[in-house]
Amino acid sequence: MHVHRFEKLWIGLSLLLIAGFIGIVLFGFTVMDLKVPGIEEGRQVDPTTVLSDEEFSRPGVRKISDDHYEVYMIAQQFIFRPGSTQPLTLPANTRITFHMTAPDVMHGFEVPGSGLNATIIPGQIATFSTRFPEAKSYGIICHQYCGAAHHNMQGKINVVPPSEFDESNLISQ
Amino acid sequence: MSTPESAAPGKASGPEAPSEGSKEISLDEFEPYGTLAVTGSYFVLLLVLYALLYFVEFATHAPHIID
Ligand SMILES: [Cu+2]
Repeated sequence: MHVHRFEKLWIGLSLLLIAGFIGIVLFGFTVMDLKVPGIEEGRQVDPTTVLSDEEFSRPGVRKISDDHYEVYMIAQQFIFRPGSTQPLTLPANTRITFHMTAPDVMHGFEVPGSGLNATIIPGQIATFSTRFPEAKSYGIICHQYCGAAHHNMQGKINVVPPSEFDESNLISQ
Repeated sequence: MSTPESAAPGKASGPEAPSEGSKEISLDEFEPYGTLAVTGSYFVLLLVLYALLYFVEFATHAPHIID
């Protein structure tokens, strides 16, 4: 089959582009060691009873160590708990692990302008760890259509310097 | 894509009935530089925007997933 030289050119460039994309993804996950949000393996919750589950019955911030806090968060129609009615306050430059689930329908968790993004699925616990590099406030939005007031489902994260972080609001273990 | 022959209304179409003033050329004599320019600039645009993604995703001082 005879292929025109222009066709050969853009077939070649397209193949290079695809090879480039695959190469960049492999580079990202090996050399740059990028991470993606996950679910807690082997741990399922019952969405109908999760609100009385150990940790999720008292959502909030818990301390694991001086450099590690964890957040248990419920995403429900149409709030993040904590996050919506009260902002979620977290210390800067500290490892934060999020655990999130939903009792009703699928929700999204996104901090605009950052790499924090997860899908919250009833029955599963979405999890990831991060560090907020600076003390400022961030928004949270639900990016998964979850019902009539989905567009109002939003929250706020206030990141404060570690020295100003008030530990009296922590959930005791 | 329509060729001048097939686009001419009211005339017999097909390569066996070329309209007046047209001539057959071989595939290699056909040189669509305009198409090449459009495709090429699209390709360059795609590479430039993809490169800019690096700054959007990684060069900002924003939190990202570490684990
Ligand atoms: Cu939602």
